[in-house]
Amino acid sequence: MNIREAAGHSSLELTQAALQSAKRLNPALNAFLVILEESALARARQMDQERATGHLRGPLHGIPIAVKDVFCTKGVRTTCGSKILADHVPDHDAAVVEKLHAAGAVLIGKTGMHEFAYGITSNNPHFGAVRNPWNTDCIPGGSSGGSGAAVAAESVFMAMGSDTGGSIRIPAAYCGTVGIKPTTGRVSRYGVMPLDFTLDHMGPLTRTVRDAAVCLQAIAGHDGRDESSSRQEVPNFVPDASPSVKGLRIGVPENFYYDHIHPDVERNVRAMIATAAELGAVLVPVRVPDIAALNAVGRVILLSEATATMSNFLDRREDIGADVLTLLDQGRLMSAADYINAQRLRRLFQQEFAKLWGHADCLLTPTTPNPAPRIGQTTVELGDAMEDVRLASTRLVRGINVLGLPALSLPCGLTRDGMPSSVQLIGQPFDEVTLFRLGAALEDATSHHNLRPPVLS
Amino acid sequence: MTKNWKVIAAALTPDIPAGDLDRVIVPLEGLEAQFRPQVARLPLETEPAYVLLVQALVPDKDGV
Repeated sequence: MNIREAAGHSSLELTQAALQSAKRLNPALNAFLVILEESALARARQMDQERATGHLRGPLHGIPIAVKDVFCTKGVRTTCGSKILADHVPDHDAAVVEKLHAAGAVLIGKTGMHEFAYGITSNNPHFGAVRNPWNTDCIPGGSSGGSGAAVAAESVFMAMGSDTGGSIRIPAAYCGTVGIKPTTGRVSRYGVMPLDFTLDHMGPLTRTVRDAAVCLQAIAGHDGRDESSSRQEVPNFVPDASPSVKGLRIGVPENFYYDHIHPDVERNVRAMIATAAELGAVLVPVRVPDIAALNAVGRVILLSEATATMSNFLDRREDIGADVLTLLDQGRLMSAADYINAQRLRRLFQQEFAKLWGHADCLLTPTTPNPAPRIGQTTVELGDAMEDVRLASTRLVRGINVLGLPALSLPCGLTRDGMPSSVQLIGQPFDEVTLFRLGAALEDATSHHNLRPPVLS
Repeated sequence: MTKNWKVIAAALTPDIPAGDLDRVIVPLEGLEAQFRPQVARLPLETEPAYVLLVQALVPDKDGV
């Protein structure tokens, strides 16, 4: 069931089912840090009463959702997955939470995540490992791992994530869901615990592309409380019933994106490219700028800014997980000159990347080069090389945060081991519409989004 | 220009424990190898990609 189909059901029924699913699966998945049963049921009854009096707030009216525990929720503990913030109870809602509330959504819980959103495993030392619904021995990805698991397990229709170096798209890829990282400035960051002021983005993980468009519609728009928030007009994101991609120029990178990639992932991504061509899109071979170097720029910015953001926590080393502490220590070794040069290089790469749009309307790439690794696995073998799990998982997504471009991930089929793989559609600044149109067309032409994880059988 | 990470780390307070040092430094050597050549190609006049949003500090007409 998607959001449009759910609209015909009572919110109380949907919310009760969501709560039951979340509670039943949480011992296996640990997707939720907190389940808000009482407030969710009260809210669902309110939404049904409003509906009965003819007051419909929009497509999210009465729909059960969750948000990552990085979003401030008034009166509800917001930990950011950290022991240090274990008792943090905000006195305000994040802008995204406000907008979802205004749209009529029903918040049923807050999802687990990598500590401080600083990592991709969601193997949290303080709150336990979040597990992948497709194989509970595997990571769900991260840092929005609980959001990916909760959506893949069909506990909620949408769960909000944040994405600094792939933290929406990686769990979407590993869990077989849709995820959109919008253009920088499209969604307010007010009330979200920051990791990196240059690279943080907020976006939804959903079951379908159209659901992602509906959710982005609800949360997009200018917010004066966030200085990075854009005044760019918010268009209608939701694709038509039969979206056409005839003549759409899809850039297919000839370099970087298919190096050191799992063969099943490559097979599935190439099949999606062929589907796009069958739908009338024009495939344009392109050579992209040096993405490895762009990733290095992103890492220097992230190491520097994250350590600056968390500098007041550094005297509590014993309360920080080993992997996050390593990254924070690495940030302490960055120089101011490195950071400023990384920001200068960001401008250079933005200029170089912009030239691509003369040849293509969007790019189509894999989201991750590999399916979800196992919990505790530190390296993955890709081609003839062993690669660090974090660096492999972020290799194809991190640079897009540096550039501020929108990127949509959607499932493209399973590997022979039964794990999801994913394509990433990368767009021009503020052109999420094209990504949703192409994503919906691909989704309509395939059935990957209908695959259900074993945990539901 | 290359960096001696161990020397830089030794100057930090609080200390990075000796047992953690390799875990911190080894990935930085790989990062350095990718990052430093990029710095070398920066044109002198290229400004950083962050800006101070002075406009945001100007009150709207209604004084907000």
